[in-house]
Amino acid sequence: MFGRFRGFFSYDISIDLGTANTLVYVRGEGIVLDEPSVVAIRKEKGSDNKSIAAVGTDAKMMLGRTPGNITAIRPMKDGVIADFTITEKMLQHFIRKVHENKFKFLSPSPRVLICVPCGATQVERRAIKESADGAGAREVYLIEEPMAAAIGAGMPISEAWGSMVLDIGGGTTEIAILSLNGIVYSNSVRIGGDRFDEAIIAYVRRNYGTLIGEATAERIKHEIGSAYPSAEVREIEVRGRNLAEGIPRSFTLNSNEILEALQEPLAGIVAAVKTALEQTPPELGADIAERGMVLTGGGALLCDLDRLLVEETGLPVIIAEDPLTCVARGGGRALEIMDEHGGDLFSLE
Amino acid sequence: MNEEQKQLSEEDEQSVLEQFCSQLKVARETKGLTIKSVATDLRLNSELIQALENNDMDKLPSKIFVMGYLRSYARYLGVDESGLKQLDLSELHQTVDMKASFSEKTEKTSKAFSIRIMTYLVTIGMVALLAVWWISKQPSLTEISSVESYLSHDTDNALNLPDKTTESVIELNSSEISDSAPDEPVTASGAAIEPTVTPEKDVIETEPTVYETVVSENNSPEVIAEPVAQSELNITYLEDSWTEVSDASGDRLLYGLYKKGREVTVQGVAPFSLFFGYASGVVVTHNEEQFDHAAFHRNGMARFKVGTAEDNHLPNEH
Repeated sequence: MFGRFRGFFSYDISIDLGTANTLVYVRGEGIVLDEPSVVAIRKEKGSDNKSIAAVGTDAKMMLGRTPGNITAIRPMKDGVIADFTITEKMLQHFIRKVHENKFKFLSPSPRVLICVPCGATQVERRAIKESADGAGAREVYLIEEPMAAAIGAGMPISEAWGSMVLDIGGGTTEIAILSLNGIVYSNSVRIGGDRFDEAIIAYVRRNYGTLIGEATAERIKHEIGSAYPSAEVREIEVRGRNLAEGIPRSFTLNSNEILEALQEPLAGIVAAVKTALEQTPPELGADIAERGMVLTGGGALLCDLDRLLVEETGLPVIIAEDPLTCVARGGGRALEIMDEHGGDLFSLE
Repeated sequence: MNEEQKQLSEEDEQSVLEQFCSQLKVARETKGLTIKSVATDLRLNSELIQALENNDMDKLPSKIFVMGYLRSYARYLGVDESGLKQLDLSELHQTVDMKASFSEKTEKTSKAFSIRIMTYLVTIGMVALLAVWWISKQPSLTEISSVESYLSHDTDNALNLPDKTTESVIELNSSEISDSAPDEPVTASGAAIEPTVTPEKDVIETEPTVYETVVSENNSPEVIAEPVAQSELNITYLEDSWTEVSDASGDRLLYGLYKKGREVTVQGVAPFSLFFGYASGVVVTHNEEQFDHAAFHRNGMARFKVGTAEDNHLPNEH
């Protein structure tokens, strides 16, 4: 009863609890929070007491740069919860932050819709639900990520027409074929932006004998990463620790090298797409061949990834508008649709 | 105002889109490419390419796909796609639109925030009104109990009446009883003061018991001429029929099986409630006017009322 009362002073929010970034969409206001899913924890000297030092952008700055008593960790791994308590704290922090300007005397108690990877097990789903409950949510709904991504991208999923969505997130890549508001086929592979970074780190260590951090690898990926060879070759200067000398050195990488580095994870994604197309019923497959598949998620921003998929599958490939926020926006829209048409349209429970 | 702005922006959008589409067509033609070759390279249907160039929206799928096709087409031809950028945001809102035609049975009223607040306010208001009513009711309860005790005292008096058997006492008591009736004390007392004026129903209701007891003891015709408004009911039996007749005061006037050929005349306070076991064998005359009761027949039986309070006349008026 009191929770419901507090609910009057809370928003309806949709959370894209991603491995790399957490986005919060507030109904009626749009995306209000987009921060890395990183929490920095300070351990007090002489005791076992732990406290949160920073969450989000501040904590990401600390990643790999922390002193002994602070650890910056990413509580989500491969799209699911790796550290339950920290995830709960992080969600609590984000929910509070979103409600900062709403009503300060009561702790917020919003209705929350969270997107989960379609490959998540029941235990993993339960963990996400419970952590949102623990963070103060009044009601928690779960929705499959590709469904939210498709709604967010504006695909006509309610039609009797096959739509294929490929959501490349930080930890996972979700592939789904949707029709008539339902998922016909879905698959989740644990390849995502993080795997791209790891591949770059491994490549640089192998070919240059130099160790670079995750943050640097991500910067390289953003600036010169590409999925398909192009005539234009871009370069970037990076600094890392030379393994042989143990001294930081600076060197130059070009886009062709990164393309080579990314071959392995990209092949994994392409293989997953091909498997999905193989498993698709022929009618829906024909629909997809006519209109094409839609790319969402941060991975869609990798240069020429659409080109690669066009060449590999022979289907038209479309990058959604604002691919990073598709899932969160779709979740928000799903909340609205649930209110309009009843709760059992998308909810997994 | 908002609507106008939206309209304008849509028109602008349309013109930008048209311009962009024709730009694509020109770029393709200057490069000497055919629609078919473009379609093969982009893995799209050549009809779609044609529809794109002619900006023929009816042949194209939803906007997300159109934007994607336009972008890849522009990139393929090397056309500057920044023109599309300004379209993107305004398009976005429209594309996130979905009809959930398969959920009609689960459709329920939108739980809009304002509606919920309204519901709670109304509930709180109703509870408050109930509380106010309850509080204001408390003193009136004691009033009612005092009235009740007064009434019971009076009826005791009325019960004692038959022993006294005098007209004046009857009159006094009837007026007293009518006085104590809380609804119409003024008219009732008026009736007591001037008995020849058509009395009110309240007075009548208390009367017959008194009247009958008086009749049984006194057996005097003056008492029958007591100013009680009555009407006359005449029943002629063409066939045997079970009969129940009672008047407005609740007195049962007739009760039992009446044989064929009988004619019964009763007097009482209208309206009369009648019940006949074999209604079609009965002719009912009320105040010398035949009453057609065919409309009330059901399975041979009939239950109906005859007359109104206005049909009552004082016996000396005849």
